[in-house]
Amino acid sequence: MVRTSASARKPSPWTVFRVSVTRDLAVAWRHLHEGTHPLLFFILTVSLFPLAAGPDPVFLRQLAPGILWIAALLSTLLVLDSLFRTEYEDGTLEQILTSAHPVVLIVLAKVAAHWILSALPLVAVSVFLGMMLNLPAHAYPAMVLSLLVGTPAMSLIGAIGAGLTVGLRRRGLLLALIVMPLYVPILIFGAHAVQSSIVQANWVSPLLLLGAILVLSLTLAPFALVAALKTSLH
Amino acid sequence: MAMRKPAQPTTSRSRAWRWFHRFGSPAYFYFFAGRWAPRFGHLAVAFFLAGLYFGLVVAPPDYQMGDSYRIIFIHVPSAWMSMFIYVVMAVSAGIGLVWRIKLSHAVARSCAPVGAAFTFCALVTGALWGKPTWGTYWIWDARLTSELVLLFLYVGYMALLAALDDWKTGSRAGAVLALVGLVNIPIIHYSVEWWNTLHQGATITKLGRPSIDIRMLVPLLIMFAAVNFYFLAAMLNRVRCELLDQERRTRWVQEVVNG
Amino acid sequence: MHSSPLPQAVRKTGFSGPARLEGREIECIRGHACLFSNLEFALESGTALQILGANGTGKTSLIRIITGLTEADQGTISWNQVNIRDPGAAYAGHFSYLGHRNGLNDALTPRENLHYLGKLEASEPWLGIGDSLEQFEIGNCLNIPCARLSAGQQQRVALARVYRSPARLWVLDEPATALDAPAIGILAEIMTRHLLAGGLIVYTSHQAIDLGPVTARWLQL
Repeated sequence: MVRTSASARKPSPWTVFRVSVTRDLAVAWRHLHEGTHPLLFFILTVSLFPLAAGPDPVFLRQLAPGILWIAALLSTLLVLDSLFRTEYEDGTLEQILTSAHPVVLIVLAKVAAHWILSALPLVAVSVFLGMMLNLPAHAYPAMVLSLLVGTPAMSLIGAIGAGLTVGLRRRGLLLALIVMPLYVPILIFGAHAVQSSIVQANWVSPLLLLGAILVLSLTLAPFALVAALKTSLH
Repeated sequence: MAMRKPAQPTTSRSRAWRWFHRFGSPAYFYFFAGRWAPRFGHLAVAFFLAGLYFGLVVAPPDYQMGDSYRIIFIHVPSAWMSMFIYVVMAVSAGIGLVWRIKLSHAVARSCAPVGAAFTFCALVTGALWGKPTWGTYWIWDARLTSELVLLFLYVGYMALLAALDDWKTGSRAGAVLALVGLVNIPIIHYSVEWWNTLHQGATITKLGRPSIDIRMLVPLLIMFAAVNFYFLAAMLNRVRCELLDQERRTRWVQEVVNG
Repeated sequence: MHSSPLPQAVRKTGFSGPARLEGREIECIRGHACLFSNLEFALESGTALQILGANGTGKTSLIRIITGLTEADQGTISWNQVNIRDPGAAYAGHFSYLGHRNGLNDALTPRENLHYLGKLEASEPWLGIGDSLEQFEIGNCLNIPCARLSAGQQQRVALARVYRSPARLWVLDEPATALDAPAIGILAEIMTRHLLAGGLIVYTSHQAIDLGPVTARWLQL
């Protein structure tokens, strides 16, 4: 039964990233019922708008981009708190921060898994909600693409807020308070890409600007996130 | 062998001395700020009075807006300070985060309420100015909207600091947030401008006129000086409080408190 | 020493070369209270250091300072003469940390947990997951979600993670928590083996852990 280090090789960064993502997906799979909450929240919020604002199809079509984007923003925000919660409480976060691999990579994997679980279903379901809001057919590419580009940026920026507040016992709405102002540009460009495509105006420019924000958050946010987590675990 | 040096009962002297050599000591800064805060305060009052006199009495009325434009003597300096203080706060917090300087954190923490107050002031004066200009207190003007988001950023920063009991943890967490905000501010500003032009067509720009009468410019510049002095005075006073609280175990604070 | 026959999963080769963990003039302030200051310690390969002290004297704080999770208010920790906070220190790959929170996800099985945590190590663990669990006599728990394991079983899984780790320095905060007497015997045995192979251990413990022939030092807070 004697086993020795036959292979003292270092796992490649890609292996670490992949293993982290699959691990988080496996955890989510075991808590599948919780995973559906943001999706249900998204559908519910969107369904409430016509009840409050009236069912007039023309009016709804005008409001549709705003409704969809606000609802997507709120559902993303709602699940942010759980991003590092379990890992903080069970000590996994300490293991991550004392890992021999670049911490930036591991936390990026966590955010990626979080996005796959919380935002990707929203993008899929938005197509059906678009129909309920009388969104014209030619606006669907803009809606799906803008959500597809905007939500990862929201996850990345929001993760910083989650990292900053993870150590707090009574957080309340603090996370939403500190993250929401940072979402303003994403909301503006995202909703207006959809809006422009409804009136068949140029919707590629806002989408490109959204892409620029995603690239910027992808390069800077992970480092801010690591700093935030280190501070919280101090 | 594991052992322990005899603990020094008074850590203050050697620690303060090391602080001084490494970063500039809190004790030194405390007394420095104590000398300069009142001076800046007096200067601020003097400049405020002069600026208001020249602005409200000497400067001529605007040929379009009449006397209502005079609110710019408050509004524009406040709006400028709201942005400027955020930059000072974020840079100072960033320095504190990277080089572990307590004084920088104290400065950053002290900037926030002053900056938030200026932002609030800019919003209120902007809304008041909106009534005679646009006929309503609030329109979604690019500048006002940016100020509103900036106020949210200040509020978020202060809420985070208030939620984290530990001074050091709070300061560092706040620093991360302030730096993220600093990167975001130009993007927010640009996106709001873009959004605004998209929806309003021709926007009413408040300072759009190419030339400004010298009798209007002078009081405006005086007011700029006044708000800067006020900021220095208020910030330094707050830093003194932060330092007293944070250094309460040290000998110099004991000496200050006990006379 | 634990006397019952254990599966002999031992390293074929020990760690090579000298290693040294050193703390100089460590000071830790919590809130407005100074927990300790001017603290000095050093340990070399093959030695263990037990941190002693009553509740609230800063044992966990010192442990976390040694892992680099918490920053000391003054002073430095160095590993092989390099400050662990230096950008190029690469200290993280050299130690394995077990804190109060065991690092195990409730929803995952020991196999899944140890697989993931093993990938966070600098290199592949030297011992298989099943074998390391056998070592702690919980081989039958391999595929049971951790939520269904008892506190003692979970602690054994967490210790198996440390045992598999290729790291030379073990930093253990109350490793004997929730363990029964036989398990403490196993813990003592694997700690002794690790030290004899040239490893280093810093630990706190309210229970006595008999390290047999190995030099054990202590640090009173």
